[in-house]
Amino acid sequence: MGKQSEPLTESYFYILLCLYGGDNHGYGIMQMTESLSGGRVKIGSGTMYGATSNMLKKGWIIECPELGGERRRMYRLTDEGRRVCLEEYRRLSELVASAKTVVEENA
Amino acid sequence: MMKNTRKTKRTFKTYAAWDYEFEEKEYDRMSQRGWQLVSGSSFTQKYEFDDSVIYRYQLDYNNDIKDMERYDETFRDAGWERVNSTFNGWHVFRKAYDPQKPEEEYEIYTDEQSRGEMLKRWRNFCFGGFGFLLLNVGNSLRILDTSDAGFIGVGLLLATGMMFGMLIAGLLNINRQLRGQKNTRPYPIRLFLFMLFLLLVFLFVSATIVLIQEGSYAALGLMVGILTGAIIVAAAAVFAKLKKNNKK
Repeated sequence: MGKQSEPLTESYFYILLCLYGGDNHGYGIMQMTESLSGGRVKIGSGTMYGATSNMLKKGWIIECPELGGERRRMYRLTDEGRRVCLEEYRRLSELVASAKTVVEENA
Repeated sequence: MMKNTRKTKRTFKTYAAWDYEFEEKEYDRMSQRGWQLVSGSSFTQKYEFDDSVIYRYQLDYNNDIKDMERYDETFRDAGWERVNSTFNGWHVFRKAYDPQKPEEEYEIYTDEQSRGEMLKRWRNFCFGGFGFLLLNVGNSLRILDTSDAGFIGVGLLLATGMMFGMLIAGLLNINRQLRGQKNTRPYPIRLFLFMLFLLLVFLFVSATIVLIQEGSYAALGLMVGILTGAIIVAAAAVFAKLKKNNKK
């Protein structure tokens, strides 16, 4: 399939990232994405629903029962989701490192 | 709810499904004038008067929702309220408009990939139409072959051809949108439907006359049966829609 090695969209990557540190609900993910990206990346509801549906299907995330007073459904990263997120992180780091080398050589 | 005291109105604007952005803009315009959508579709729209608020509208196409609660919750999280859904998988959302907020707040698809996925879902639904039309071509050819009134077969072929044309126009339009081109002009769907309707009425009437002349009462009975069936289906559809609206 080779699907995992395909670059993730920004929305996908941010969703995974927002779940990396712990469970979160859709609203939390939207807020966190906006603050992490300094307001540059916004995830609309249609995009969010499509992305979470795909991720649930691929087994990158699961839904988990509410805890405490939270009435919203929470999402949790699976081991597979964690792996995908880290792999993308490495890929992006490599891109940045390459760019840095080239740009600094030609500065 | 004191529903009867509220001012309501119904409009009959027709949109080709791939022209959904024109539909959204119309709902926005109506809302600015104080007419708030109660139930939207690409054939008829119902509004209620309330000029205390302005909404912005977005349409989503998804006929593959496994968990409606999760769907609604995802939209509610960002301030969207689902106004209504159509039988074939379109969902109308609204959000109260605040001029202080940036435009992106009023878009449900924030990247090209996810918008593309929605367009592809709709395109796949359209492909189903081809099967139906092919069946129709088969039927038309058979009538053309066996009936004395060959023109009926020709007319049916013509009607099928028109529908083919529309489907292809729609698919090409979706493909253009998938390539990132903007929809500039709405498809003249009203004119199209009107012409198709005229053609079908002409066919039906002339077929009935031919059958009466030929004295084939069995076939006449069949025609009446088809007509009755069509009316029942239409009535059921209207009834289902009314029930759905009342539930809200």
